[in-house]
Amino acid sequence: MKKPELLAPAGNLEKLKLAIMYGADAVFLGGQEYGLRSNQNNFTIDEIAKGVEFAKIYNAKVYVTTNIYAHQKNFIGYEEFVQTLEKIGVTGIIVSDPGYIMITKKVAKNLEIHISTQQSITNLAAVEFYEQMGVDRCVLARELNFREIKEITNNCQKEIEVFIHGAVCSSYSGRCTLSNHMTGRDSNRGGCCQSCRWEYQLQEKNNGQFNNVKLNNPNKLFSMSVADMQLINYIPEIFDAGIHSLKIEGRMKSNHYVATIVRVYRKAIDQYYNNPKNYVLDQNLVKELKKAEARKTYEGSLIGDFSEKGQIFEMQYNPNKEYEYCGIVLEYDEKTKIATIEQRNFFQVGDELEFFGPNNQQFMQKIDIIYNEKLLEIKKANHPMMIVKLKMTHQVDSMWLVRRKQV
Amino acid sequence: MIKLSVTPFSIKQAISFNENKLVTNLIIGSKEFGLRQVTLFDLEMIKELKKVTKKKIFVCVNKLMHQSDLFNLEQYLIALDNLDIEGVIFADLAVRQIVKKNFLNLKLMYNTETTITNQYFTKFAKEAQIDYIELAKEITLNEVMEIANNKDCGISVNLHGYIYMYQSVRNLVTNYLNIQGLKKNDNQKYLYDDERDALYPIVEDNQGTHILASNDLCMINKLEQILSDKIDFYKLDGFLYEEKEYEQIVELYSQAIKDIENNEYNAKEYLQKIKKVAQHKKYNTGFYFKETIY
Repeated sequence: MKKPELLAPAGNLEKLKLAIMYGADAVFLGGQEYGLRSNQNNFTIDEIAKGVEFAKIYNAKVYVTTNIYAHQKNFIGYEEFVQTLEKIGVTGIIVSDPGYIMITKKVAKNLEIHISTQQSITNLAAVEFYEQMGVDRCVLARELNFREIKEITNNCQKEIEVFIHGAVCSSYSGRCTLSNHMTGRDSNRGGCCQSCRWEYQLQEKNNGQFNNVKLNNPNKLFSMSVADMQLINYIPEIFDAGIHSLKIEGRMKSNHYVATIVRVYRKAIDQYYNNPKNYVLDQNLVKELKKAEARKTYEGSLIGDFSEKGQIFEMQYNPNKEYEYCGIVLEYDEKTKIATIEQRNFFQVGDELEFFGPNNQQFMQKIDIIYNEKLLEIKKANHPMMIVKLKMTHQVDSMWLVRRKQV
Repeated sequence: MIKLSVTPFSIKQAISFNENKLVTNLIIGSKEFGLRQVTLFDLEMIKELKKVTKKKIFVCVNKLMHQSDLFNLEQYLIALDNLDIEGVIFADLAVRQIVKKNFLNLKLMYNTETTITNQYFTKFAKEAQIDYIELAKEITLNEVMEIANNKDCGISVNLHGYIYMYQSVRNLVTNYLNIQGLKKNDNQKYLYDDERDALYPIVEDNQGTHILASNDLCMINKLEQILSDKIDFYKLDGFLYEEKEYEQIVELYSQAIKDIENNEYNAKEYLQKIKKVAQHKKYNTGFYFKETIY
């Protein structure tokens, strides 16, 4: 039995480290240009190099997304960019534009080429096309079910990657320009404004007249919005499908999200791999996932269900998040049992906080005293990014995370 | 010479284009694999059409193919090849793969609607033995011309018709009506966007859901800027028009192109004329003169 790669998003260097420490075999990230998340959560070349150095320690791989559909001017500097990636030890690029593929094959031969889900590859013949073109991996469309994926992996030569968790496009990826037409922002060059999650009034034309469709529940307006993918219940099916790499979506998501989701799938994959015959899903993992969940989730496409069950019709601007991410441990002094923490969300004396780290470590602690940087007592950690110190009941370490149950 | 690709609604309408020398290509929707087409023709109808026209017939097989389609697709493409038509228009590279594997004579025209946005695509197409590509509607006219001037394969651009925005595998209208406890009827549906006061046509078929822009593309008053002998084909698409309206649209573009050749072109007049043809339509020039940001 082949153990699939667990591939996680890295929105910045800190998230890259968290993703790898919490169990990812590989991470994907975007550079300053050419990738599908413009402006935010992107790495400079220097940061990518640092990320690659860090990944090496853990024997993890780094892939860089250059997955826009390029317009004429988006080729400026691309050659140098992929040559630099090759030089600093990036394993491969995730790409959809054929021009980018051709250039990379010519000038940076050692970079692996992974065809992005933006190409919406839905069948074996299209995979064969890309194999003949000399690519190393195809990321399949998020419209396929386990049976279709298995048919493809059973019959293709190169690697297949599949999304297992996170937000999905409600259209075939790459085949949507709602954003372009509604806001002038190019969805296929990183400008997507998620118009598919907006609300619309359904109308119909009858005898030349346009009228609203009469609704039984006028509070639920039309939306194309699709629930996030979540496949924790399908680990045996995932193994059975023969997938080479399992991808978690979310370069825009928080530290807490990345660490929590990666850690859960890491455990589930390892548990199944080590003892497939007696594998039962640990329900604690399901609970753990819930702690980072920000939207409705559904297994949807992978089981071939595209019904309303997989859609979201109420706009959930404030989803009922169970847990709030409070901070990250910067260092821990074993002698004094003092942890130095960088605050990310409000917490105060009296709160019950949950601390968790890579592997299985996790515990709750009631907070009696909070110290500031100068070790003076304070009541609240109420400034973003402020440094506080806590006396710990259990050992923690740098890169542990802190969260609080919402009440 | 300017060559127009048109989308006949019927065999009768196709015959009516016989005398129009500007019209060189008939684009026909495949009943089995065509999406967003005015009419879906089965193989028998295509055979009939072939008998009554000397124009080149391209059959549109632009569905995204799933595993279960592949076998039927192969049989279908072989059957099409036997009809001796010019070629196929496709959105999924599976079509290219099957055509080449079976050494079929069908010419290949790649049209993904949204992703063909630069001149490297023409190099890629040449290497992949794809004969034509249709450029995305999201690039500017300057970019179109740059691509045309540096092309390595044939290119087709759009002059008139619906603007694609979105395709989902999901039946979004049915799903929505289900949560409302309502039954679907045959009336054409639209999504109303109150922030933009825009109405987007939404069409559900057995392949899922399609959403179109609120304005159709119309270049009848910009023809001098877009017509070039570097561009192989210009498309006039009739999807969501009436057959009569479409006939007039083809006629107006044909006259306008002749007027340009005779230095008699009055752009404003043509725009006014075309607005009268289908009064329910709103027109703009898409992204030809408008850069997107990102």
